[in-house]
Amino acid sequence: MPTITLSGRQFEVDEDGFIQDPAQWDDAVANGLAAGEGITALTEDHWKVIRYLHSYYTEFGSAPMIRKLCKETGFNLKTIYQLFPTGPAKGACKLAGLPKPTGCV
Amino acid sequence: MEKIKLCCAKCGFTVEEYVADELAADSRKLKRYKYLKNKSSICPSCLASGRLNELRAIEEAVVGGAAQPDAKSSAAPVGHAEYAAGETPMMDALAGREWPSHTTELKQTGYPVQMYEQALQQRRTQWGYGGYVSLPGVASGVLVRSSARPDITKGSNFLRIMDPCGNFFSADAMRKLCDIADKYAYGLLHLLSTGGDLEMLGIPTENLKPAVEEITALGFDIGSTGDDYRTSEECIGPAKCDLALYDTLGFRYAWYRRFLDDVQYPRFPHKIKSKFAGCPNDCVRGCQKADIFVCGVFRDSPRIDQPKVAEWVEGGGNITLICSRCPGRALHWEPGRGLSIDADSCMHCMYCSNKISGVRPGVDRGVSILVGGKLRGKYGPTLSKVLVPFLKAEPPDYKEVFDCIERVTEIYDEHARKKERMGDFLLRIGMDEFYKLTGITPTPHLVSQPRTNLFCHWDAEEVRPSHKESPCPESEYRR
Repeated sequence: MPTITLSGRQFEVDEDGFIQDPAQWDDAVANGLAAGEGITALTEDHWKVIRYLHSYYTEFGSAPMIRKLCKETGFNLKTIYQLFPTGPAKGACKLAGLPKPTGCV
Repeated sequence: MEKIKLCCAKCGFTVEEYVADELAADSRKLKRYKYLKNKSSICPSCLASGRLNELRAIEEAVVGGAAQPDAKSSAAPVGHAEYAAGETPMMDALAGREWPSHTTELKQTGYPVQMYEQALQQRRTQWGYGGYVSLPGVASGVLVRSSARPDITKGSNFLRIMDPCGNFFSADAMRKLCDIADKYAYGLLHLLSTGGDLEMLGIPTENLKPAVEEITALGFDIGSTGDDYRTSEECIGPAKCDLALYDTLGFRYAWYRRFLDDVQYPRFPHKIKSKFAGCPNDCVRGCQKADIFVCGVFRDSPRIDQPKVAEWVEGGGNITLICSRCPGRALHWEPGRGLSIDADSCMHCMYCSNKISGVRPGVDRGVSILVGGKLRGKYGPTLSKVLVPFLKAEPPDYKEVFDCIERVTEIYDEHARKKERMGDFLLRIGMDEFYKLTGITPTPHLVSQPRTNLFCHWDAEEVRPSHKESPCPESEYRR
């Protein structure tokens, strides 16, 4: 299994770069992964989405529906795409340390 | 947490993953796990690339004890160049003589002609599964069609370009689009797909970004893939037809202005197709194909131009047949008094307007909204049902109609399951529940079968005795 090194720590990732163990996730991981997703610096809006996704995952064990994500964070889908150019599933979930979501979002 | 993995029998890719405790607790999961394990299934990409046949060949060789390797699998893979230069006898047979031929067109472009030639020879398509391509900054609009014959081509990306209203392209804009297709792709355009959009075929992955940038710089937008509003389709309407009851082109333009974000950013449980027809003739086939179908209707009775009708009858028009085929029996013809229509019996089916040029639709016009038509989906094809029988369509923003459509999609978004089309959703919860959720009051004007088939002909002896009094007693067309 491939690994990546972020701020001196090694993480196991899958073929798309999603980290395998969500328990290892912290803010440094999100900052480290951001550059690969075309984000120069994580703003407060980014953190709002990332923290919501991570807390939802730790509570329910899965990624939320897009509708729920938009409703809870107050951003519409277009804004989320502007924040995370690769999209809510590939970009935001990766930064929040979630495993790769199923389906083709 | 102990995890159990089901891997592809060929490439080892993890197809499904289970937690051991969950599997023990949930009997449905356990059943599925056992089923998949017994099947020793392979992943879709292996299936698409034809590895299943290789696997079976190896199994057969092992079972039969044959020491010789399969001639097919041991042969070296054939190169792309060799295939490109190969003969195409089946395609040549289809090449144009009196009529323009698709094979002649395909051969002039970069399309891998051997994919089609092999498909004709083997009598099944050589293309594999389809899917979406993630392009940073572009949420929808880029698709990929994988290839089951990697020795000919590795697969093909294509772009969906949203066409202007009425599918009108100026020659100049089309020329520029063709230049982009020549520069980055096969040089092949698909005009227009059944969803009403233009597809640019065969773009290599590294060319996707510059191609998208050039297309958007021309003023076109790409989108309409994934679980969003697909490109809407409308009839030509007032641009060419005299029967249109509202401005379908302007309606679609206003629809794009309001819902463009939903066309480009997928957020719904499944795709939503919309079609707008100018009159109940429904030339866009919206009743069969569209999740949301907006149809032009009129409330009063059709207008009759008596001198024109009399002229038509004198010229040989069979007015008796037309009157006998009126589904509501509302048309009456008397030679001295002319044509009359019983307003209460009229079903607004457009039959008389289509047949007689002296009869035109009424003046109290609006739209009706129908939901739930589809051809595929879980429960198969469904026809759409009338949700709102009459709404005034008021330009320029059509607020009342669009508010209603938005309410329907919000309910669908909130209550439907993932990958459930609107028609399946309506079948599951029922129309009554749907009316409660949307807050629309049902009225007696909602009919599930608005029009009997006027174009079905039969002989008198074929009709069962109980149906002898049908409004369409015998065929006059057949004689």
